[in-house]
Amino acid sequence: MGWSQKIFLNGFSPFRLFGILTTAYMKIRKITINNLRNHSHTEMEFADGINIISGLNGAGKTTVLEAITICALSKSFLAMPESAIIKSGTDGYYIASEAISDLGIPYKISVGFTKGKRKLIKSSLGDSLLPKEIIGEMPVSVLSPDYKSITFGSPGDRRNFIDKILSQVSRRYIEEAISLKKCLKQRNRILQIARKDVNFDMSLIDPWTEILIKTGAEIVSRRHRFIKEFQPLFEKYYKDVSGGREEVSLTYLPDHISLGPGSEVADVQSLIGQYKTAQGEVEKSELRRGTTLFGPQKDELRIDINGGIAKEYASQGQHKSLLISLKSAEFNYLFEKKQECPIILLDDVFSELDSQRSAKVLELLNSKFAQAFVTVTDPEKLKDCIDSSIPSKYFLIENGCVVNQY
Amino acid sequence: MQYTSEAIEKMVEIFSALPTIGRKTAQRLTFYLLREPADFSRNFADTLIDLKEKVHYCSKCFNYTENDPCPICSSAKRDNKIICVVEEPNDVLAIEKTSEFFGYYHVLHGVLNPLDGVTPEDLKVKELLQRIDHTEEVILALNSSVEGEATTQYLSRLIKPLGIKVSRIASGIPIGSSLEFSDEATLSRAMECRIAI
Repeated sequence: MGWSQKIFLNGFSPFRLFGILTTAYMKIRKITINNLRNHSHTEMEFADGINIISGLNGAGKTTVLEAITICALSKSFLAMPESAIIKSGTDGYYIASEAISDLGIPYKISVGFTKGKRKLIKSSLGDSLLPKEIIGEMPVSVLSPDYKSITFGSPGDRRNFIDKILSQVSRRYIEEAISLKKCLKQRNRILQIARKDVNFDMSLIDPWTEILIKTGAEIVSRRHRFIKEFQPLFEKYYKDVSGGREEVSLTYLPDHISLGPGSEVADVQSLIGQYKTAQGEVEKSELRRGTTLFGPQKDELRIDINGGIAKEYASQGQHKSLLISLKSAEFNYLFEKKQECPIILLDDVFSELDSQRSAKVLELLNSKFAQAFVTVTDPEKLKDCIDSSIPSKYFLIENGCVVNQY
Repeated sequence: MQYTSEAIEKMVEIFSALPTIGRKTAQRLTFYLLREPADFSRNFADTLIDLKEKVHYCSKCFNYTENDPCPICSSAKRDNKIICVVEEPNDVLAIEKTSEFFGYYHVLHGVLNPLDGVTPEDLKVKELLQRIDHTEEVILALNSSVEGEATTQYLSRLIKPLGIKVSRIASGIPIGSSLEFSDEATLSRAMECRIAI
């Protein structure tokens, strides 16, 4: 065994030692879950490799994954109001986790939520943090049947997919997205007032339009660059999953903006110009309807399969393959961009997949040395497929409690 | 009634109506006042009444003052060609602390916020336009919130056509901090707003 291999097996990549940036690995060691769904108090210690969480339906398997995403993204990966995920009969939840990077640097984070109060986030970075300050510190990539909506659902679901990845990569993107949301609220309010008041001073709309256009251009240029980099990864993984029989493509279609074919970078100034023209076109309808009618909140990401729109053309099986490829590409994009290996969360994925697609997902698990959390109803099926050299741990959950682990 | 005296109850109510003070702190403050000699309370009460009776807006800059115009507006040493526009009186204090700005101020008392119903009429905008005839430069030093940003845009659109130079304060890396520890959003904004040397 060469020296570099030896070091690698110890969890260090050889390049680290020379002080060059290479991939970092974050592993969750421990988690404490209080009053989340049916868990009243659960403490779990995890393996660095694959953690398999099994149990009957409704036992509280997915809740463990939700707790992990709350620590990583400040909220559950399932789109639900905070008040709905609190254990009934209690006032709030509290989750604390401890992780460690491959350099031995610990990272602690706790998130507490009490009904009617602000979420309290504490981490090794400081006390009383905002969600934007912790997103991306512990990158995660989640695959859940719930994400079917990315290929099945509305444009909003696909924007959400893009936003979630970019938020983990760029703090600036989070800032721009927050500004856009606030600005849209204010602008829509003022358009509503203007609609009802004939003597309204129209110049009051202008400052909000200006911010919408500027923030919008920043967001579109970042989304465009992202899709350009993401597309080849997606195509590669789709070929892999489907056996190369089908042609797929991703096209970013920003609202009221035409991006020149093949252009790698969208120039912010030219986007601002296009938005200004767009604003002139929709101005009258905006005033009539009292709402904003242009901007990145109307963008679409078109997924094509064999020349048709996936939403309409794809079969059930193709939808599953698309989702796996999108998520595998997400994992690798985060891996490359952050030089950090995301934690993989698989929520009840295998029950929905045939053996060929399951094998592709397992390949992802068995590669890259990522830490993974998998929920399954039947752990025995999975056991045989997992590389025995990977450290793994099994948890059996019943009624919100860990009843067995080995 | 929770307390043994109505006076205590009332005092706690009043204290907890103040910003950043919760019920517990209000109680602690109330009992502290009870323990202190009567002189302290008398002084405290007089000061409160003075505060409200003597302090009012400066008729020029709308900062708080006892004498109208305020010491800054009536100072002959100041440069009357520059006006710095800020959101709140607190911001004047912050800029004054630098001892580097020698123009006048103008306090808006808020920023535009349609959701909260704040319009230009609720701010000291008209008053600002009335006093900038002989001004050469207006510096907009508003916070970088979306609302502050919109107010900056709004004011610059009003003032620029009058032939007056309008500028805004820069945003970027704090002095003395190292690049490595700056957050990504600030750093990327600073890159964008770089200046040629």
